[in-house]
Amino acid sequence: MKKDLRTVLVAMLLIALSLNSLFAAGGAEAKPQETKTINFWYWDQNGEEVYKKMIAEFEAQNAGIKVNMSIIPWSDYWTKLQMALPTGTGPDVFWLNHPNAVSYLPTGLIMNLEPYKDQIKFENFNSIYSEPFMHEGSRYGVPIFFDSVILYYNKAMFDKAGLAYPDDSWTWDDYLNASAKLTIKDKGTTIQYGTIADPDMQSGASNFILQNGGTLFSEDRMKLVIDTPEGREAAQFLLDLIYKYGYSPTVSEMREITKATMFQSGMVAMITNHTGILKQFAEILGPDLGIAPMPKQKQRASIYHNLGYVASAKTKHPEEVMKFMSYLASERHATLLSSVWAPCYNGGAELFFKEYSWLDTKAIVDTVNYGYPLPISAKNAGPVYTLLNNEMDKVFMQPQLGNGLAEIEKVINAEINK
Amino acid sequence: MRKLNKTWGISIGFFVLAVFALITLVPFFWIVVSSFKTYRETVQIPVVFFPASFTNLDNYKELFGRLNFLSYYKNNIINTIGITFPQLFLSSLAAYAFARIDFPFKNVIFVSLLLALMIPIQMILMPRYKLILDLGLFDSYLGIIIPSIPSVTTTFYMRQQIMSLPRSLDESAYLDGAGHFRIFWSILLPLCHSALLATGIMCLVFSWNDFLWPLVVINSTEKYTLSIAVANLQGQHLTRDNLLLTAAVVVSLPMVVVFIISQRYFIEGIALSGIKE
Amino acid sequence: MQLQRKHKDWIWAYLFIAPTVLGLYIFFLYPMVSSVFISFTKWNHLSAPQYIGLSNYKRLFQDPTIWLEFKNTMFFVLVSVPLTVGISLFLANALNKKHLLGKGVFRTIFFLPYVILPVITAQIFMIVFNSRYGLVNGLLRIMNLPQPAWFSNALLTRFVIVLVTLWASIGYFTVILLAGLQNISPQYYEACDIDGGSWWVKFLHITFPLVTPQLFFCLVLAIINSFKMFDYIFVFGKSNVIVRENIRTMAFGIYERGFTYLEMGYASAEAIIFSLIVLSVTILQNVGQKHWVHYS
Repeated sequence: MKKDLRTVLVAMLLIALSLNSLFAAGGAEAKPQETKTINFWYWDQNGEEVYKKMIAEFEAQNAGIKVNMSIIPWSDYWTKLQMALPTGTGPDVFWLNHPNAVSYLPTGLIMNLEPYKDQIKFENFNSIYSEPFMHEGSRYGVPIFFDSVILYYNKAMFDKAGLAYPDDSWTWDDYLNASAKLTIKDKGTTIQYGTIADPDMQSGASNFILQNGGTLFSEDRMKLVIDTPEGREAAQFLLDLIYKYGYSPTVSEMREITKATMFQSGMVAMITNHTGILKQFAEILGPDLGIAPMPKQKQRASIYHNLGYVASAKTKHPEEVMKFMSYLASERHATLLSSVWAPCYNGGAELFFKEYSWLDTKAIVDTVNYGYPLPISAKNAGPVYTLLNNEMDKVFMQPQLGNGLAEIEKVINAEINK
Repeated sequence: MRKLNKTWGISIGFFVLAVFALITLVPFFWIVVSSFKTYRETVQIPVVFFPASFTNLDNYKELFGRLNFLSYYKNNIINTIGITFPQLFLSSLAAYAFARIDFPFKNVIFVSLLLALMIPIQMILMPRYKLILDLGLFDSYLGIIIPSIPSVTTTFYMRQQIMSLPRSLDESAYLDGAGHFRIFWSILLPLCHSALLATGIMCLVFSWNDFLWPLVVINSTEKYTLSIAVANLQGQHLTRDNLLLTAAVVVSLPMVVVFIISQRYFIEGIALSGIKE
Repeated sequence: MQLQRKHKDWIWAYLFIAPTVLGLYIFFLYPMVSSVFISFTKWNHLSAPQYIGLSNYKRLFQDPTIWLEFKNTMFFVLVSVPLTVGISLFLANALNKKHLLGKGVFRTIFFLPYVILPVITAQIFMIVFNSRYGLVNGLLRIMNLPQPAWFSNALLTRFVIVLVTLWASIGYFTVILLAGLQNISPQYYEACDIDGGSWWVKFLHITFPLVTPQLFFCLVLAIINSFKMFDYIFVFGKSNVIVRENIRTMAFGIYERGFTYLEMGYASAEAIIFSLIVLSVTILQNVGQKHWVHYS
């Protein structure tokens, strides 16, 4: 018996000791006093190379500062952020988007950038890009890159159908007529669709509603005011594309296969989508890809969205963070970034589009003149946006609009005030 | 006559198994074949079954080159081994106590452990995270390993296993002067050979694929696990399906190899050899 | 002498269970207690939680969606568990035969699905059941049968979910049960052969009773896992909101309320009720085991 007890105790001790040594080894790396480390988080792997380059440059110019970048998977970015930021174990600088700006800015967790406006040159950005990151008159974010919604089309399909390419004179009628000619049926199944009528509140329905003179949210964004005659007209127009004419696949189909895949694999001739996807389409469709502004109706409208760099208010190294932020607001940053995305920095977009010389990229740059921000509420923005998209999807599953928009208003307005 | 029936029985059995096996294999066939496709080929409609070139190793090159999957392998191995072996030992130890010793509150404690399985893990992430922070284990391998070592499943399973071994073994050992630990370690555990192997493999796979907890604990990219790296392949708007499917092959392969190697150790039938009933 | 032994026994017992039990209490049950506290608050992750007493629970019991989620959860449990455990037992039994050719190969093949990350499994099956160009509809087309849009129909989506669950989890249970079957001494079977017993008799009177400890484990685990049905609802329900609303389970509802709609308090309340339900079912099973589980 005594021997057993001894064996057990010795074993437990050994386990404890080995664990301890592992632990100690982990924490033993003493950091040299002078180097201050900044943690930078974002969610898109496509930026890895360009950020590595930028960080190397920044570190070379700023001895004593080290930037640690982490790419967090999009699916769990906000979950991780929510846990890390309030406990001070989160990033010092990170990406923020419109809907989440609404939730994060009032919490006091984000650093107010106004005191640093001499270091960070906000005047180099169009104010529509800084606005979503403002709270009570102060600026909290440095704009990064934007995307707006345009019309993508397949030149080869237009050539085959003998149609002229879309241009900035196009109205909804032109759009409808082209869709008709570009829809091809074979023995009762549609093998090519003219277009996709998308309920999505960024790349689809909202653009059409606005183009028809409708409204989305109220001025103060506390109420959804989408149920107007113009709004209903626009929604029914899109519904007709699906059900009345059959020029567009159904919502289920477009979500199952995804809009982008359908366009890329030659199932659809035209889609409205945001410019963030341009790189992908250009890679796959090459010279067959064409872009144009969306058709106008009573006016032009295109939903834009941009990201912003924000800083944690709890950062241990505010000075170093500000140095990094001013680098991120510089022309040099915009030049490097333009190899992957369209920077918000004045003139940055033109640099991005140089690569796509065979496309009418002026169309994209021009959208800033008639851009409307992503439709988000002033309160509870994230959940409201998700719910809005869900409700729109439901409405689009019926051939007739009926009271659809009024119903959506009810549901959304309830959610805003939760 | 009975022999003919037996052969018939075995043939039908074999046939049924073969059909099941083929159905099971289809998705694997799909991901292996897809790993040689270009992005364009993976998103084609109609679906492209065979890539243009079976020697197209671009996806693999990208995963191991630019995306540095090899270093994530190292992290997975550290975590998995750090979790599995302590878990097998400690859970079996506890299982022995639950199975063989009568002590106060035994049943209550056992059922309370099952409670741990019932709550969706997302609900306990935040309190656990704070705990790890307080213990100073944040952003470390130990932060992943230590909370993952205690396991209800393994303890429960081993308890069932030990309970099905005859008590006569315990009795004779006790009469020979053995204490609890000796009975556990030298007599009963060796008889749980297959069970330990089975549950060991399950634990291996589970910790290998674990995603949510490592994601929450680790901030440094160097310590990322393979499952986090795979999740990063899924973008906000578009996913590189060809890379994702190749990653599926790359991540699952080691576990498959481990399982195949372990087949040798699943010994048939005689667990009670040499014991007089 | 007796008393002394008993006393020493307790010490050993507590010592042996200490690491596991303490570990589980610290890393699972203590956070669960925090969850209980959160269920009495309104919390959106970022600001401080606000105490609101029992309102979350009151709301829970009046929310028709919760009742739907409960029904769906029960549906998946009652359908998948018997199928999963039953088929696994059948397979484990079939793989336990001495004269089976390629046993190791079969075992490996059936185990494979467990190895794949769930997110990849879901992706693959979305492609396989794709309404236009998936494998399944392709086969149906060849056989001149109707090709439904699987994910646009709630019933069909449920069918796919059950199928995928089976596919992914049978490997796990088969391996577990196989290990159990291998502990059964072949002497029993030989004795039965001598007495002229058929395959069915052998199964009913030897195999089944002797594998009940592992079977009990499988049942408890299968039920708990199936209660937690979430991943597939999430992925397969993505393409059609109406289908998703139809098939949503409690685990899905908890996640959505807590992380998409940022109502952690409400989600925690649902999580607590959920755990209590699962606990009751497990306790019932635990009590019932005396009636059918045979330990040596």
